[in-house]
Amino acid sequence: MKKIIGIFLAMVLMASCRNKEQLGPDLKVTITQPLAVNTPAVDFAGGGKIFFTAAFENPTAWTITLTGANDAKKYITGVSKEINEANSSWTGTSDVLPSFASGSVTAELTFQVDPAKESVPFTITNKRVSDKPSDALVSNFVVNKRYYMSGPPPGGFKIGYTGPRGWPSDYPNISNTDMVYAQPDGDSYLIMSGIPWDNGTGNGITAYVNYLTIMADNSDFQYGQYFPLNSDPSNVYFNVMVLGTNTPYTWLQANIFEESSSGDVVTRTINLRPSWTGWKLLSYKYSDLAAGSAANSQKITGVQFVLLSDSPTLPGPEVKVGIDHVTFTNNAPYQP
Amino acid sequence: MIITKKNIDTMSKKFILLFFVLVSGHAVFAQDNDKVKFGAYGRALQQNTTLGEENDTLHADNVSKGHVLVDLGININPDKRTEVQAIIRMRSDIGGFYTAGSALQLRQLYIKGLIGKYFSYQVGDLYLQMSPYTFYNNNAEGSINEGRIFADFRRDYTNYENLSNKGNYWWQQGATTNFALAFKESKIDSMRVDAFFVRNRPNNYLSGAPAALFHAGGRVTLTSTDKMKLIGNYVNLFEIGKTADIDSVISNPVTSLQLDYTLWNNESTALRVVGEGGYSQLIFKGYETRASKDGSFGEGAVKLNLKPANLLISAGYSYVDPQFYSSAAQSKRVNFANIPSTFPNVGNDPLAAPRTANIFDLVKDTAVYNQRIVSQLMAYDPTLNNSQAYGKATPNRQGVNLDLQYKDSAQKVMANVNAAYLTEIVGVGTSEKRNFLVLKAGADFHIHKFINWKKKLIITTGVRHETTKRGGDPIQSVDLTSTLIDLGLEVEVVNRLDVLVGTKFLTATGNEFITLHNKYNDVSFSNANTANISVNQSLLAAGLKYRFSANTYLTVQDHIFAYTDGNNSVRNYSFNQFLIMFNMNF
Repeated sequence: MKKIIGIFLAMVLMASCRNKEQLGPDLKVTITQPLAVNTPAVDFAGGGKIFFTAAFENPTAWTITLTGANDAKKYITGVSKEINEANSSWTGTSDVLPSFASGSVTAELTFQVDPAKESVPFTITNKRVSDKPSDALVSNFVVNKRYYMSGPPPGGFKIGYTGPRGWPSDYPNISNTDMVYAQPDGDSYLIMSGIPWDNGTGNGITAYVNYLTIMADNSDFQYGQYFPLNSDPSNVYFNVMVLGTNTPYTWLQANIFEESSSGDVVTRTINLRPSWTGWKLLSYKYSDLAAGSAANSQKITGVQFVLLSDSPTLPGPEVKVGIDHVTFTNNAPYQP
Repeated sequence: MIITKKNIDTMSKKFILLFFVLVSGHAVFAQDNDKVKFGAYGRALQQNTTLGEENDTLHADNVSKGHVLVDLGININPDKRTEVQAIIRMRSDIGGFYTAGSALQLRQLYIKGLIGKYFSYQVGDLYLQMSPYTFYNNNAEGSINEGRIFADFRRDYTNYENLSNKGNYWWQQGATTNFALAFKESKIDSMRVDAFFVRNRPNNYLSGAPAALFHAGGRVTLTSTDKMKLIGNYVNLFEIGKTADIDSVISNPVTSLQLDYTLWNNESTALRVVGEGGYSQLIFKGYETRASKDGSFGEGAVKLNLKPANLLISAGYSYVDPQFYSSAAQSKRVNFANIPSTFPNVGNDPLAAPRTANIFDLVKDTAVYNQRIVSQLMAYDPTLNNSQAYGKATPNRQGVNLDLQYKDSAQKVMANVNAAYLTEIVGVGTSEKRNFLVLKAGADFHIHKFINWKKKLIITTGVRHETTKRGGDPIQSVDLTSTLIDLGLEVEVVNRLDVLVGTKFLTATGNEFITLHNKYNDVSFSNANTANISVNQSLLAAGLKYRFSANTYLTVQDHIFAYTDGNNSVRNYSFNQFLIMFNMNF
């Protein structure tokens, strides 16, 4: 009996003699080396990167928030005693739209609970090139050279059709720039707005406001009949930056046209109700859009945006939405 | 149809009639013979809950739900050594039409028997429990010797539906076996060996593609005369990566040794020494940068039984390492990350997060209960239990406790008082350590025995008071006080008809940093989880209960719940619930 009790006591003693370290990161931070940046200027277009350094007395949960002059934001987080190249390198990507532009950036170091903070400035000499050579840009609404058409061609959409398409868009063939909102990509973007109207078909006022169609051969880069994309639809992503304008009942429909094996047009539809205010990047795996049928990502011919209102009483108030940087990417969603 | 108390009553009467039809039908079948026997549990429940109008014009303010169910148990004995038991559930939701909301399910199934003369086995659904540090389903928070009106509902609905109505056992699926040997002319009188292998419910925190999760273990119990019992426990929660084509898996073996030794036992006093010590590992196989987390624990206590005074005194010390992880002992019966089913959203802020479980939900809502054993330490509510949120096996605790139990020979008064002082072994987020003082007391007064009244008149009381303190910089300091009070009254006014009254009050004030654990049980915090707490919760209930027999009763109750946040009155809300339940078990 004494031996057994002795074993118990020995176990407890051994347990309590183990080296004990504090659990979790420090709530009260002690900075032993202030925040610094490895270079005052960085050229992301040339493949450059930047990193930060700092040190703390104990493991600390930290966040570095990078904010561009255009309000672009990037967050780098970690739990460590040191901030160094291994845990804080940055290549110019953005977590919150818009994309980082060339110019000044502020890096601010903050902590989970402790209100202490430090900051350091630096400059982007050349912004990151976000579009990869393999991406298929539909439009970034920057280049004032395309003739955007709204409405179907006479007799409906047909693959290979190159003639005039319906009537000119209510949205002119120049980009709308609204300086009320930060620009998510480049200097301009597209605003669609309006109220539902009676189109004279005898149905009275419907939810429809307007729409915009961009075919592959009429997009920014004038691809051929189809956008050049990966053959595996699960490796293809449709990306669009959408501006929510705090206008209730705004309903944006994105239709992606795909040529079926029989030559008909198959439409893949995304319905959006922008309930947010500001810009959001939305990315969709193309195979996820093809409910009930096999998608063919190499037969995508065009993209259409339809603005509608889901106001319970029509016409209801004005609905309004912004669109920018519509692009297909291969292998991964678009990274601004 | 708008549900009112009046038509609920009417509806429930119809379903109670249905029960009698079912039961009388059952009686026809229940002509047991040697090989086939029947038993059943039945319930008809209708709840109508109204949300108070303060601060909420967004959400529906009345919810009505109910069901009728019968769990039909079929017990088959194909031979003297084999038993097959199946429980088939027939359920119909009140309000479902043309079989919508109706279901016929196999609720439980097991086969058990005897191999040869010594080996017994059970395969299928089974209940397992070992020690509080190895395999133990800790009680839910929000209860301290609660009144009959709450205890009945918790037992017959909440715990029953959660398959956690067998004390501190976990419901599992797999196989268990045991055998026992007796020895003559040896220091050891007998040895019993238990072993189990179960398939855990799938929930892998380490991978998006979960691997099959298993639990295996056993215990060896050695008994020497009637003075000493020595038990060795081993459990291991582990994944098999090949079942999900992944290389990185988890394993959590725990080993312990339990001792129960009687130093003396005579007519006036008995003195026992009890204890348990052990070791755990949380192993991340395939994670090159992650070392295993190893921890140990130990507890010891002396228990003195003063027989003439009907008093049992226990004093002990416990130590649980900061890195002690034991999945089946630390998984919580209540999952505070779950969203309650009754009015999950309250208030006029459409972006506000759903509310968390309160003392009303803890009595009544199966949606906040948990059946899974997981390796990640689960969320908890510091206002309900901050010192030992994961039971005795809560890591990073050491301290002393004193327990007094009293029960007079006539069982007029039964009382229990417990005091514990615990501290952290290492600081969390700081070198400063928290200390906890916990006082618990509960007493049942059988008043009818004092006044020689033939019917029942029982008062139940309970209180749990806890303080948590930590010094240091204002950023690090903690000062949280919470008190839970339970009161109950049970009066038999006429033969078999009881009046039931119960109340619960929870008050909590102060501040605390709610610790978050990731899938590796690494600790973190966030500003959002730094709680400044000023909360009052009250639950008042009253009702009638008519007992048809010991296990069959009809009860009608009304419950009023209020939640008040002293820091933000916008978060205040209240419920009023009327329920009628017919419960049958035979």
